[in-house]
Order: sequence, then C-alpha cells, then structure tokens
Amino acid sequence: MFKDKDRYLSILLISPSILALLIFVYGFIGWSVRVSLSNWKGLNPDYSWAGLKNYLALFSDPRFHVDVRNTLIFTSVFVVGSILLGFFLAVMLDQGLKGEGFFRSLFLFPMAISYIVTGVVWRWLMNPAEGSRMSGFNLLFTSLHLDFLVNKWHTTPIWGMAAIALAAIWQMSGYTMALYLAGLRSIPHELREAAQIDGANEIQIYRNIILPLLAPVTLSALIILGHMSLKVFDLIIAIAGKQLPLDVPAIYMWQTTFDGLFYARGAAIGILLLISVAVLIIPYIRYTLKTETQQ
Amino acid sequence: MFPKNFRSVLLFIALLIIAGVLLVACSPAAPAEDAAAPADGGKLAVGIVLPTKDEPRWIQDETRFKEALGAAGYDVEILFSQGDSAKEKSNVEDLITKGVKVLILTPQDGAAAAAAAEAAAAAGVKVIAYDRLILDTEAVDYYVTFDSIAVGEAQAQYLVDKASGAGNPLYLYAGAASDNNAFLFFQGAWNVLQPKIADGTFVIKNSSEALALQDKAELSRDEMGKIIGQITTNWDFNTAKNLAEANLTVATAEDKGAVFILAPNDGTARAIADAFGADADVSSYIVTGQDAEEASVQYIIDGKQSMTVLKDVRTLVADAISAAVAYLEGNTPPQTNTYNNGVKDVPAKPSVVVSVDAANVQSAIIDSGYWPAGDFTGLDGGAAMPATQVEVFSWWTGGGEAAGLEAMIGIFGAEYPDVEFINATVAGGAGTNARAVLATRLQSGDPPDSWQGHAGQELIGTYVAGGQIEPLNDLYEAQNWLAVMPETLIPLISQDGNIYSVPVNIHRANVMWYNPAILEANDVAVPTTMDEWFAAMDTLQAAGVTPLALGEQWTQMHLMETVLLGSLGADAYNGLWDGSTDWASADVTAALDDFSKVLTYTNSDAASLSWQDAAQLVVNGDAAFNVMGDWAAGYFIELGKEPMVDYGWAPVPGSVGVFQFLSDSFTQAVGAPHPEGATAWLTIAGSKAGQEAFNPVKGSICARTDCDPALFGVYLQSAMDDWASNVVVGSLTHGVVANDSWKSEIDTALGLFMAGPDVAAFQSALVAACASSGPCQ
Repeated sequence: MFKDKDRYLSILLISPSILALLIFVYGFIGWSVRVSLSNWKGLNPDYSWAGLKNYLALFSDPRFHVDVRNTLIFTSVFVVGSILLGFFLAVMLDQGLKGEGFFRSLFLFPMAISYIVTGVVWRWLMNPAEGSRMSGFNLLFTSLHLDFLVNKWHTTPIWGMAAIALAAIWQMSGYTMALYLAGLRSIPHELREAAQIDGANEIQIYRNIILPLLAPVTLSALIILGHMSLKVFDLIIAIAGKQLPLDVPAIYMWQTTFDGLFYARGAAIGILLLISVAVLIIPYIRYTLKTETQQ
Repeated sequence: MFPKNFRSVLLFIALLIIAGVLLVACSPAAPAEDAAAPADGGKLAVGIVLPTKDEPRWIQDETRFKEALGAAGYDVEILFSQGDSAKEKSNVEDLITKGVKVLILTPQDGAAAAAAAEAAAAAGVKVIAYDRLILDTEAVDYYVTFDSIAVGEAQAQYLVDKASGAGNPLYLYAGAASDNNAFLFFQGAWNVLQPKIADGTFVIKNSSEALALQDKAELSRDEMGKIIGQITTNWDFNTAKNLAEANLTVATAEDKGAVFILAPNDGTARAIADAFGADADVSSYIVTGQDAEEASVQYIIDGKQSMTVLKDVRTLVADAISAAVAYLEGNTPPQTNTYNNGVKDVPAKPSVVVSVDAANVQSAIIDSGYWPAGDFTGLDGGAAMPATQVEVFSWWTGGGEAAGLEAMIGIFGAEYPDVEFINATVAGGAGTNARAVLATRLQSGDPPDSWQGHAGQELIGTYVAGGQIEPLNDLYEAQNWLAVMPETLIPLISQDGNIYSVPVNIHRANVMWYNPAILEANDVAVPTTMDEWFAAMDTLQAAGVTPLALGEQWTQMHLMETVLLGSLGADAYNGLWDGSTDWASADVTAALDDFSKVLTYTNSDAASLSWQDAAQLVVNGDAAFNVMGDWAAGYFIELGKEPMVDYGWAPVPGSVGVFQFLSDSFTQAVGAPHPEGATAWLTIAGSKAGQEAFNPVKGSICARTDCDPALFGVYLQSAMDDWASNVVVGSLTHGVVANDSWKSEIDTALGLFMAGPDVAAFQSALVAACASSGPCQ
C-alpha cells in the first residue's frame, strides 16, 4: 500500500518538470527538425517538404566550410589549452603552496564573469591597430621591446579564431584547474609514498600513477569544454561582432534566420550543432550513469 | 532645441502652479466670499462677476478662470449675481473697493449693468464684457465673446441640412429679451432660416409675429424684439418647458409629425426636447442647442437632442485672461471686430464655434478633451473608445536617434495627451537585434502597433510579403502628404500602388568625408571620379598616410555599394536591383575590380573598428578619406569638430549628382492592438512639426520638402539642396533596394570575399544571390 502511494506521489511530483521537458526541449527539437526539412524562407511559415535539401546545401556552402574550420580551430586550441594550463596550475597548487586558497580563487574568478564581459575586455587587449593608435597587448609588447610578439590577433587571416580561443582559455582554465585539483586530492597519499619507496622519480610518478588516475577527470574536462566550444557565440560577438572570418555555426544560424529570414536553413544549422554536441555528450552521460549505478 | 525649451517652460509653469497651490494652502486665506480678502494690500488684480451658479455653464467658467489665472500668477476673485442686477452692482462695487485693476463682467442684464460698469470705469478699472455685451454705456473697454451670430447660423444651418421637401413644421425659441446675445443668436438663425421659410421648406408654427415677418430678410431690433417676446425662454428651463407644452397644446396633429425646433441653448433645448418627446403626435424632432453642456452631450449620444454648438470655454477664458493681462501690463488686447452696444463700438476678437452632433461628438467633445469620455454612457464602442495607448517599436536607443525620437514623442504627447506612448526599443546591431525580436513577436501574433523599418524593400520584401503591415494610402490622402514628399520616394515605399510606411527622415549614403588638412598637405584635390580617387590615394599612400578609413563588415558593404554606384553610374546601379543590369556582366566585373582596388588603400585593422572609430580616423588626422552615411556629420558635431576645417565632404567619386538615400519609416501593423493610436503616431511622424522636431536632432533631413532649412546645420542644408536636385537611387546596406534575404546573401558573399579576395568567385556568388532571392530568376 505505502509503496504504491509513494510511487504515485513521486510520479505526480516530477510530472510538471517532465511535461515541461517534453514540450520545451524535445518538442522544440522535433519542431526544429521539421522546419529544417521545409522550404521556410520569409516571415510566414512554409512547411512544404524539402527533404535533406537544406543540409546538402550547407555541406557545399562556402560559409559553412568557414564555420566548420573555425569551430575546429577554436575547439582544439581552447580544449587543449585549457586542459594543459588547468593541469599545470593544479599541479602547482598541489605542491602545498603558501596562500593556496588565494591563488585558487584568483584562477577561478574569470569563470564567474560572463563571456560578454570577457569579450569586451579582450577586444581591447587584442586591438590590432598599428602605429600611434596601438593599444592593449601590442602596446605592451612594443614597450617591452618584444616586437616579434606583436600580431593582428583575431584579425589574422585563417588563424584569427585561435586568438579568440585565448580569451576563452583565460576564462575556463581556472575551472579545469579546479577539476584537476579535486582529482589530485582524491588520489590516496599512500600510492605516491609506495611509488617513492619503490624508487620512482617525480616524472615517473606523474606518468605512471597520477595521470592514469586522472583520466576520468580529463575525460570530463574534455567533454565539458568541448561542448561549450561547439556552441560558442557570445564571446565572438563581443570581441569581433558579426564578421565572416570569425563566423561559427551559431552565428550563421542566428544571422541567416533573423537577418536573412532563411528559417529552414537556420533550423538545419541548429540541428547539425545539436548532433555534433550530442556525439560528445551522449557517450559521456551513458558512461557517468553507468558508473553511478555501479557505485 | 525647441522641444527642450518647451519642456522647461512647461516644467516652469507646473512649478508655478504647485507653488501657487502651496501658497494658497499655507496662507490663512479668508473664505472666497469674504470682503476683507486682500489683507496683504492690493494684491487682488482681477475681479470677475458671473451671472448665476444655477447654470452649469458658469460654474465651468469659474473653474477654468481659477485654473488659468492661478497659472498666470494673478490673484482673482469670482462673484456671482444669482440672476439679480442689484446683486451684480453690489458685487462690482465690492470688487472696486478691494482694488481690482480689471473687471471681467458677464452682465445678467446688458442694459442694467451699465451703471455697474460706469462705477468701475470711474474708479479707473478696465471693464471687460465677458460673453455678454454691456449695453448703452461708454464704460466698456473690451468684449470677449464667441461670434454669436455664427452660433445662430450654425443652429439654423443644421435644421436646414436635415430638412427635405416642403411644409416642415418649425418651432422657434429664443433666449432672454434682456440679453443682447439672444438677439444675435436669433439674427444669425434668421439669416439662414428666412430664405427656407420664404420658399416653403419650413412653416413657422408657434409665432404669429415671425409669420408676419417671414418674407423680410433683415429684421430691425424692434422687429426681432417682437418675435423674441413671443418665443422667449428667458434662458430658463421651466419657462422653456411651459412654453413648449403650451405650443404643443395649441398645435393640431397636422402641425406636428416630424418637427424642427430652433432652441437657443442646451438647457432650454433639453426642456423643450422633453416636452416634444412626450407628445404622441410628434413622430420625430430635430432640436438645436448651444454650449455643449455635459447633460446635452449625453442627450446627443442618446439621440434625445440633435446638436449643440460648442463654444470652447477654454478659448474664451484664455482670451479674457490675455486681455486682462494686457491691461495689467499697460497694453491693449488684440482687436479684429467691433460690436455696437448702442453708444460705442466695443473692440473685440470673437472666437469660432463648432457644430456638434452624434456623428462628431467623439472627436469634437471627447477627443479634444473638452469633456472626459468617462462622464458619458453609451459612447459607440470601437469608433468612440479613445485610443488609450500606442506601442511603437524601434531600435533608436542612443545618441541623436533616441533624442530625436524623444523630441517627436514630445510633439505626440502635446497633440494626443490621452494616448499613452509605449516606447518599445531594442538596442544593438543597427537594428538586427530589434528585428529578431520583432520577427518573434509577429510570428506569435503579438505585433506592436507601429514599428520602425528602413523604407523600401526591407519593409516591403519582408512585411508586405508576410501580410503584416497595412497600406496607408488613406492616411497619405487625408494628410496631403503626396504633395509634400518627394515624388521619387513614393514608388520606393510602395508596392502595387499601395504605400506602406511613413518616412520620417532622409539620409544620404554616398558621402565621402575627407580631412582637408591632409589633402592640402599632400597637394591633393577632392576627387570626383574613380580614377582621380585612385590617383589621390596612391599619392597619399606613398606619403605614408592611410588613404581610406574602413570599419567592420557592414561598413564594408556600405563602401561596396557606393563604389558600385560610382563605377556603374545611377542607371546601371538601379538596374542591379530591378533585374535590368546583369550581375554577370563585364561592367559589374569592372566595378568589383574597382572595389577590390579600393580595399587595398584601407587600414589594416578595419575588422575591429566600428563606423565611429573609422570616421574618427579622418577627423583626427589618421586617415584621409572615409565613406559613410551622413549620420557621420552628427557624430563629428558631437565630437566638437568644425565643418570644412576638421572635415569636408563630397559625393563618393563617380557619384556626383546622385543622391543615394535611405530613410527610416514607421508602419501600421495588421491587427494592431490600438489602430487609432497607430494612426495618431503616424500622423505625427509624417507631420511638419514631428519631422522638424526629429530631424535636426537626429542629424538627418526631412522626408517632407517643406521643412525650414534654418533648423539645420551646414552639412544638412547642402544635403537638402542635393535631395531636391539630384538623381535619386536607393541604398543596399540600409534596406532600400534589396529584401532581407537577398541582402543577407550578398553580405555572406562579401564576407567571403573580404577573407580571400577572389573577384570571380565573388561575382558568381552575387549572381547566385540575385537568382535565389532577387529578381533574376
């Protein structure tokens, strides 16, 4: 009796959120898929069947090629940079440093800022102006006589996206650091001591003991950072506005939908974005769920 | 500037009123009727004596006098004679003792008041007869009145307009024989009615004297006196009711039926209408009135009184006060007429009157603010409900645009005080953010009443195609805008003969700004052709100057469209947008080559600069040229730069004599929640006052051609001249020539071209864009 009652109550209690989820997440995903398979262009909906036309057009769209290239550059620079820097910071802090709490907060703070704010600051720091109008990093480098470091940042052809990723690394490496720091702290001290007794040096300890034990942390970081970078939008808008050399799928989706009224194309880009994120996220969720149930 | 001053004047007046109220509240003021009021010595300047508190009309006057004189800063005392000439005289003497300088007197009896007026004049007090003339005395300085003859004429004209056929029974009623106005009303009515009585349209049923004189076009005062003696109401409800009932008792059934009644004012009209309405033999009646009293406005709404003549007491009060103030300041009030009072011609400036019936009661009484709608029942739903608000959607959130919009909203508020203005703005991205929000609202069926859009294909291609905006041809006709807006503009904002938006301003896109000092230092003349431009920029580049300042991607499209115009010329450029110029042609290739070459002269950090940043390079001496729309002029002024010293301007080379324009305009939504509000807003947006308020502040020229050039700065005056004389073409970047989809495809092609300059690929992308979203099918 009691058990049944509990069951009904629990279903009753979660039903509003399930309903909302069904409508606002899965319902809208379904609707977007439908729009992406239509000929909708202009303000008035047109649901006539277009099949995969919009997707095929995107694959031969030179702008979408730029988007994919930019996303790949951004993702690789951002993810690799954040993980390396985060790991490095975590290892440093793990050395029993004085004032560890202070530094930990310091490195974490950028994460508390929104991408828009980061973008506005970095837009100025990475100002590519030359001569008397030089400012930001370039001015700093020049006054330090490090002229070889002066560059065009995000306005560099092809690789401009990497400069945007720098700002993102600055913002997110503290978060990666926190992940790694937690991972390092969870490694039992006895393991290190045992290795030391066995005569392993520091490098060997990190390579053969710590890094393997941190693999789950690295996977989490990879997936969290990876899906963030696929969806990047606001940081680019804040630093560079809507400029084609720094275009990404999210910006293309927005512009083509609301400026150009190509609703079907916009929906198709959205679905492609969803798929690319899902490819990263779904195995991760399955893995997490599995480990949780095992525990 | 003007609206700002205007607002501060309003604020000042408001503060005065508040201060006045506080003073009255704080001082231990004696009751109004107390003779010892001016304890603080001669402060009382104006005394007013009105006939009676029993007629609502005079209570209205009292209220409005108090409001207005309080605001003007003069102390005033208002006394009532209660229909008694003796009381009137003692009131006047009372005020004289209190030391008034000006007496405003509405005599109970025009002749009997002469003595009171003379007493005042003897004490050196200026006497203003208010609404009723004081007769047979020299002691009247001024007469404030409505044109009473016109009132009578309006009443009679209404009867004539409603009558058809012959033999219509006509019942005449008049005011008090002791009141000069009663004669004037009757005289005006007689002027119009007499020919219609003479030709048999009307038959007088209740006055033997009038019947006897019915062939006489002009009556003497005595003759009128005889008639009025028979039909007088003495301005009294009961007298009027009794007289009407007596007339109806005497009249036979044949004398009734559909009757026409000349009633002199609202109070008597209601009494007479009640009597006639109660008579079984009266099938219908048309009855006139006067004064637009609230009770009669309700009678008109209910169909129990046919019309009234509105004499807006606010006008009369204002005129009386300005006359009083003129005397207090030692001046003479204005004079357009004189009225003979039997002894002298009294100077006057009569005010006009308005005929009100069920058809215009809403606009004349409610909308004008004479009476509030809430005081009445049965006002006709849709048409009569006042537009309580209007939501106007725009992306004017900063700088001159927002200030200009504020100025225009100020004009709107003054014209339509009852309409609440909801300023729905969305900031950012030259309108792209706002348009994303707007698209969402339109798709969810929640349109704002009116929204901003660039005149031309941006509106037509998107919202007309989507069936979201209303044609405005009726408004254009009603406001006579076709006569005052440029002919070339109309086709660009129309589709299939329907006009879809009201342009507020005109901007010019093809302006090349230059730094005069840099050109002079390098011995470069202002270029007028593409070749001269290239030569000039070669010289400048060799001298180490950045020849051309450029900003982010949209400014690059702006540059592209002006170079296309400069290379192709106006006709071929126009052809690009209507399909008559082939995008794949060699001419276009040459134009794109020119554009490609122009880009080689630009600053390297273009992508990171806003248009302001780029324009600033020129005035700061960091670059020689910049191509930007003429909103840059406003920005330069804001920076404190001097025209022709810090910056100069010329048409983009190759486009001399061509005006590439863009225009902000407002629409009316299909299914607008407040269509009257939208119409009111559009009326202001297209009006001379609205545009003259908006444009000097925004830094654009009026879409109307009749704006005053003196309001505008040096640059804009030159733009106004060009607008009137040049060939006109539309801008791409700013929504005139291409719809949103086409423009977005061109934008993508341009972005790819900027990333990897390949003219052939660019051109084929442009050809494809025209085929997919433009007219090249």
